[in-house]
Parts: sequence; C-alpha cells; structure tokens
Amino acid sequence: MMPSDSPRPPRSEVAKLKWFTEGVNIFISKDRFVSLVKDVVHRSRISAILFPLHPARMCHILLFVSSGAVAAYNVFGIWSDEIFYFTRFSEEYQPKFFLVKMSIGPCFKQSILTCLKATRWFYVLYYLFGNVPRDAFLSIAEVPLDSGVPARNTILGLLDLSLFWSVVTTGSLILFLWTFGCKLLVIFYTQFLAMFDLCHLSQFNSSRRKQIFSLRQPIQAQSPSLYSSPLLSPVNATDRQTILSPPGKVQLWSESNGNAVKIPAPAPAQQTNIFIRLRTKANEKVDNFVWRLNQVPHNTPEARTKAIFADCQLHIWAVEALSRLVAASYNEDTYGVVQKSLPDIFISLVSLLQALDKHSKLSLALTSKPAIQARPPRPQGKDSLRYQLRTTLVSSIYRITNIFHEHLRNIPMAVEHQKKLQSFLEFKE
Amino acid sequence: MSSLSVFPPPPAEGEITLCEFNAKLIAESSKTAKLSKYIPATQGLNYSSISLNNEGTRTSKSLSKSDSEWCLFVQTEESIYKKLLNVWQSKGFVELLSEIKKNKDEVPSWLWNLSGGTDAVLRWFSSLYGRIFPHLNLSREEMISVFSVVSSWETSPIRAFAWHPHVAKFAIAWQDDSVKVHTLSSDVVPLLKHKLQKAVSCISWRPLSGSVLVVGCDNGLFVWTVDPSSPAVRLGSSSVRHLSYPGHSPVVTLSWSPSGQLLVSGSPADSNLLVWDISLESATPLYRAGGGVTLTTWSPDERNVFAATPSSLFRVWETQSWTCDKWSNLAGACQVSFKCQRPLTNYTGGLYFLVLTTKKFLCYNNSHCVLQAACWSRDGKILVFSVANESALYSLQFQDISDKQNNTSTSKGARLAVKCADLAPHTWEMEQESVTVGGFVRSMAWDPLGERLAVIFKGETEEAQELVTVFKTRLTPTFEIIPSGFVRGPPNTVPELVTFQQNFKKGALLTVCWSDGSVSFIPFLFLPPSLAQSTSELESGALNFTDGMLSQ
Repeated sequence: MMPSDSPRPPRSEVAKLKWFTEGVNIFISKDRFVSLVKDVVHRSRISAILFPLHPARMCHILLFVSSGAVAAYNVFGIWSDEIFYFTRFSEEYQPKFFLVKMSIGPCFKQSILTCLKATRWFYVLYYLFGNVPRDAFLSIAEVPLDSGVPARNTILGLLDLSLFWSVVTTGSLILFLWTFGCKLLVIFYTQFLAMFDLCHLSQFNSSRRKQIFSLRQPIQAQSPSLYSSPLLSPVNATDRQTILSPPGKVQLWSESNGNAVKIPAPAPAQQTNIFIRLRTKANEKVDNFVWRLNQVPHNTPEARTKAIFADCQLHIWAVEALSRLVAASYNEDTYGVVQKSLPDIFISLVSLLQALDKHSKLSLALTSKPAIQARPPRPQGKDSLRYQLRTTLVSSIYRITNIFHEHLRNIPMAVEHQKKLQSFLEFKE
Repeated sequence: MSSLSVFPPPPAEGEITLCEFNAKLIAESSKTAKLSKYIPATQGLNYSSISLNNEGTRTSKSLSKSDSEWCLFVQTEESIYKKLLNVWQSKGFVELLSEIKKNKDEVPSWLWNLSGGTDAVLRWFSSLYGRIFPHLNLSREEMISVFSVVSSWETSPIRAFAWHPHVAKFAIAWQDDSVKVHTLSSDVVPLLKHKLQKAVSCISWRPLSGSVLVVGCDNGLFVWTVDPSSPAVRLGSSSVRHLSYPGHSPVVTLSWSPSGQLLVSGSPADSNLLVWDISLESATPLYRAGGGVTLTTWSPDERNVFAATPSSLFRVWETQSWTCDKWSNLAGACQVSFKCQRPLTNYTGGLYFLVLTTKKFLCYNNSHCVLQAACWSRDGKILVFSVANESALYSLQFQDISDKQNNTSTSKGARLAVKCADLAPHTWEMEQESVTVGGFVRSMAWDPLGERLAVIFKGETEEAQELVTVFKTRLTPTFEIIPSGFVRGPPNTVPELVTFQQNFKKGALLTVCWSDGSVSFIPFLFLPPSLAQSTSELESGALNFTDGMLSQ
C-alpha cells in the first residue's frame, strides 16, 4: 500500500456527507467570505441596517434567494397544473410583454454605465467629505478608531475594491429600478402618453401637424417603419390598440371604473387619413364621456360622480388637442381635411359642455353645502379635474368660435346647440 | 432710424386731440371739441365718458399691515400654537417670527428669545441683501409706484386699466381699490370690491374666456368671475377667489398665457416667478436670483415668457421645458412692452404691454441700468424694448430653430439688439410757449395690429411729460418705426397710462388715462395693409358649411 497524505474518501453515506460539508466549510473559511460564518453583534441600528450592504453579504443573500427561487420553481413545476405554467396576458398586452422583455437588457446596461459615470462624482465627494460622518459616529459612540482601516481621505482609502464594488452594485441596482420603472410606465401608458403627445404637438410642433393634415394614408401591412417613427406616435398608439383588440370589443378608450361602457362601432379607420382617425378617436372619447354623464341617474351618490371625473385628464387633453388642431387648420390645412369634420368636432364639444353643466347642476342641488363658508372652497385632488375640464372646454370652444366666427352658424345643429353657439359668439359664457 | 425732430409740431396748449383721420391727428380747442364732427355716431364709436366726477373716488388708506385674515365672522379663541401654525402656513416664516414677538406673554420665554435672535440675524442678512438690491429697502407703496406701469401710481386716480382681449369691455381700478367693469353695449357696471383687495397695481382679463378677471394687488391675486349676463352690480364673495403665496407680495405684474391656461405673476420683493394654474389654484415657483420680478409678458405664440428683474438683467423663459435665457449687461433698466399683434384670422388678440420704470430706482443705484419696456410681434418674432437711461428704442429678432432630432422647434433670440428709434429730446417753438418732447421712455403701448406705438416719456419731476407720442410701425418687409404725431389731453393733465382696445375693427383705438381721472378714447382710423389683404381673401372665398362639407 502506498502511503498517502490525503485521507481516503470514506465509504459510508453518512461519512461522505460529513466529509463534503467539512470540505465546503474549509473552502469557505479559506476564502475571503470568512465573515459569513462569524457571529455578528450589531452595536447600533445603523450598523444593522448597513450590514447586508456589504458586497460579500450581498452575494450571500443573492445565493440564498436564487436557491430559494430554484426550489420554488421546481415545486411549482411538479405540483401545479398546466394553467400555472403560463401567465395569461390579454391579447392587447402580449406585444407589451415582449417590449418589456426587450427593454430589460438595454436598461441594465444603461444603468451600469450611468452608475459608472456618476461614480467619479461620488469619489470626489467621498474624498472631500467621507471622513465627516465617520468622525461624527466616532465622537458620538465614543468608539476607538480602527487603525488598520485606511482613512477615507487618502488615496489608499479610495483604492479599496470592496468600496468600489458596493458603490457600483447599489448604484446600478437603484438606477436600474428607476429606468426600468420609467420604461414600464412608457410601455403601459401608451394611451395616456399618446394623448399628451397629441396635445403637445397640436400646440407647439408645426412640422408634425403638417403630417396630420396631410392626405397620406399609412397602410400598416406595407409600412411598419412608419409606425415606429416618433412622428406618428399618437396614431401609432391609438391604432395599435384598435387593431389588437378583438373585433366587437373595442376597449380603446374604455374606462375601468365599472360603469357600463358604450361600445363604439369599430371605425373603418384604415381607409382614411391620419387626421380623420385621430379625430375619430378623440371624438369618440368626448362622445363617450357625454354618454356616460347622461347615463348617471339623478340620485347618484357623490362618490360615484367623483369616480366618473377621476380619469378625465385624458378628456381634457383630447378636447384641447382637437380645438388646437382645428385652430391651426385655418392656416395650415391645405386639403380641407379638418374642415370636413369641423361640424362633428364642434357639436361634440358643445354637447359635452351641456352634459357637464346639466350634470353639475344636478349634483349641486343634491350635495348639501355648509351654510357658512369662510372662503370659497378650493377645488382639490381629483375633484378639481372637473373644474379644469370645464374651463378647458370653454376655452376650446372659444378658440374655435374666435376663428370661424359667424361661419359656424352654417353648421346644421340642434336648437339648444345653436343657443349655446350664440352665447359663445357674444362672449357671454 | 426715426427721430423726434421730424415729427409735425405738437398741438398747442388748450387743445385736445380727438382722433386720427386721413393719416392726421386732429386736435381742437377743448371747449368746442366734439368727436362726432369727424366720425358720425353711426360708426358705432359710442364710448361712455369716464371721469373722476362720476366716480366720487376717495383716497385709499395707507397700506398698514392688518391682522385680519379671510374671516367674515367672529374669530374663535384658539391656542397660541395653533395660531402660530396657521400664521406659518399662510404667511411664511418671517411673519411667524413677528407673530411670536407680538405674543410675548403667551409663548414660553425660550421661544421668544430664540425667535428674537433669529429675527435679528434675518434682519441683518436682509439688510445685506437690501444693499445689493436697493429696491428691497423701499416701503411697499413706494415699491409699487416705482414698478407699476402707471406714471405716478401713488397720486393717480386710476391705478390700472385693462381691455378685454376679445370683447369691447374694460376694467378700471380706482384709487379706492375698487375695480369697475364697463361694457360698451351695456349700462350695467359691476363693482368688484373686497376687504383685502388693497393697492391694486395690475389687472388682466383671461383670454378665451368671457368672464374671468385677475386683479393683482398688495395681498396677492384676486380672481373675479364677472358673469356678463348677470345684472348684479355688486359682486359678492362667491364670485371671487383669493390666491396668495408666502412672500409673494406686492404683485405688480400679471400675464396670461394666450390660451388662458396659465398665469404668471411677479413681485419685486420675491425672486420667484410664479406660474399659476387658476382652475387648480396651484402655483409653481420658478426661482432665479435677481432680487425680484418686475415685469412679465407672455409672447403671443405662447412659446416664451419674458421676465424682467429690478437689476440690469432680464430673462426669456421657454415654455415647453421651462428653461430660461438670461440677458444681462444692459445699457439701462428694462422697460419692456411686449407687443402682440392680432392677426384677423387668429384669436391671440392681445396687447401685452408692460413697463417698468426705473426713474426712482436709478436714484438709488446709479451704476446699474435696467431694462425699461418691451413688446412682442404677432408671430412672437420681434421684441422691442427700451432701457431706462438711454433715449432710444431697441429691437430684438427671434428665430425658429427646429431641432430635427427631437422633432421640436424652439424660438431663440438673436444675440444682438438693434437700435430702431432715437428719442433724443426736441423742442418746438410755438406761438406762446415752447414744448419739449423726448427723453427716457416711461411706458409704451402697441396696438394689436402692430400699426401704432404710443409712448409716454418721463418728465423732469415725478410726473410724466404731458404729450403722448404716437409712432407708426411696420413689420414687413423690415421692421420700421415711422413718426406720426402727438396726443394732448384735457388741460393741465399728464398721461398716466396708455393702452389700446384689443378688438377694434376700424384701425386702432388708443385709450389714455389722464392724471385728473378722465379716460379718453382716441380712434385712429386707417386700413392696415395686412387687414385689407385678408379681408379681401375672406370676401372672395366665402365659407359655407353644408351637410358637414365645406364648399367654397
């Protein structure tokens, strides 16, 4: 038998396991992760909070979490039915899921790069002021200074690798959360952002307005690149939703507060130009709102009316964008694209105003007000949007009447709408 | 370049200017003067006569600080801490300190000592600040009268005047702090009066609205809703809202965005420019150093806001991202009148002309020169301004710079201001006396079509010069200022305020408030080239809607 230095592997199972764990223990203790197996006594709350942020401990935690995740995944796979294998997305959200997936990588990369860039400022600050909190702690807690640790305001202190590691990891984690959150917001709030964008372009951007007033008819199948251009993002967002919703269930501008939603007939939008489609969307939105307002029974509690007005920011933008587009069309619309739909736009705006007035009259009569008011109530929170909707609406109608003046009388409309128009023309609103 | 020496001789003393007719300013002896001789009443120029006699104005009380908050009823007893908290919330930290000082018996002694110490330190710092910005040492009334548009705000019976941007109605603020709204086609004159509405310095109608009027005064802003169809003469507290922001008083300048969404206000005592959303009653402060904001005007295309400071710099804010360009090293203090021309086809009718005087300010601070007045053109591309200690008008051209990458376009100012009129004093030898006109600009106004510019000059004393100088202006092909004539008012008066009606169809209507409390309406009858052109276009292509289709 050859003499050997190393112990032979044991035969029995129990002994094998023991050998293995010991080996691991030895392996760990030889490494710099030695601190993991030590008992730690926290002297202060701060140290307890900062304890897991140490890079080695973060690694440790990460290992624990990932092992837990693997275990959970296995258990889930074994015990659940088929349904649980997949998360069901509604069809509308499916492309969004891929968008999210696609954006994770770039987000991660971007956040690390940004973090690295920002780190130099951190180092400058750290070099200048790093000693201040430590000295403060020292003097408050009356702890002696560990002479083995280099001071922060020396070059040696800055060259500490673990310091760099913790700065980069924590920094990029925070940045990743932020950028990814923003990305998610952008992806999931397309409708919201599209309306805002439309409102913005109708006000400031004449070159994009020109695109809207043009006669070009984008055909989705042939020019997908058109849809990715930022130029048409509002159309893009609105259209994508129409296309992706199953027919007969147009959820485009549907509201989610449990009210019955009027289902507008799916417009044959693909044949018309951009403005007409935009106009249809925005008009539908306004008409929908009118319909909902009229639908509200007279004895509705205040809470429910509030719910109706809770999300009317979109309506505010829709109304404003429409009126601004109409106003700009007087000078910019060379093909008469807008003029064709001017009657529709005007009538829907006026009817929204009337519905709003009728509704507020009813709800005012119902709500009991305190007898004495020290000062007029301030519209606050969600309720204030109601006032804003009305002011925006009035300004928008004025914007149209101020441009087209008496010509608006030629629009065929109901008698009550004509009365309203008259008072707008005389500036009596 | 235009100069005063080529002007026709001014009207003699005792005469009164009636109108501009056939390109001439017509003046007659004040005893026989009648406008109807030149313009028949059928023209629809039926303006109510406004004078001090009809008003019975009493002088207002001086601005002493009062304790009364917005409280109509008996004040309930509340604990001292609650009261202090209220004061802190509503008036700010400095008022809190003075409130603690007042209630020595009620607060604990350590708090009283602490607040006394803090107050002393703050005072020392503010005196240091006051040395840098001398206007902060003025009393509130002095501050308003220095920075108000009115020539001599303290003595003038009329303290502010504003035409509605779309309708023939106007609001006048009188010396007793009441505001009256006159409508040309109606006899109902609503009176807007509130206990806290003191020392009114500016008023402004909301564009694209028939009823909202904002009054800027010592206590902040009052938003009145003057229902045009209501017969009520005296408006109650249900139609007014009071907006204030800690430290933001006295308000001396207001400007609505042309779409009526936002309102900016400025106070010479506050370095914040406040941007208000009136329907939400919320204000966003934009802080920039400079010691205060004395003049704000919104450009007619809604892209830029001009804000002048009491020192020798002004800023142009860009309203998409709210960033600002700083203009400094002016040769003089800033007196800016932003012109807004009203194209026939567009709604942005508005003359946003504001002026910041620097006469008194310069007495304190001779080394500084501050911008004095400025105007925007209809498309927001030309800004005309004058500086306080130079007798000239300057113009500044803005250009559209489109950013291909972000698909946005911003308008940026040129880096050089061009002198466009020389306003050096000139003396005319009349039969009995000699008349001198010219010098430093006190205030000016541009008519909504951009055809006439009216200028008030500073006099030797605190008062302005007695004649209003009128220039003709032309925007295309190049910007030009051409001499026109002088406007003289009732005997022994000086002009306090000039402005133009916003929706006058037959040319321009100059409105001058005189120092005796009378208001004269002087029609300038002409057919501007731009108007003539677009009118013919409109006539030839009559718009007609049938079945939702537009046919021409």
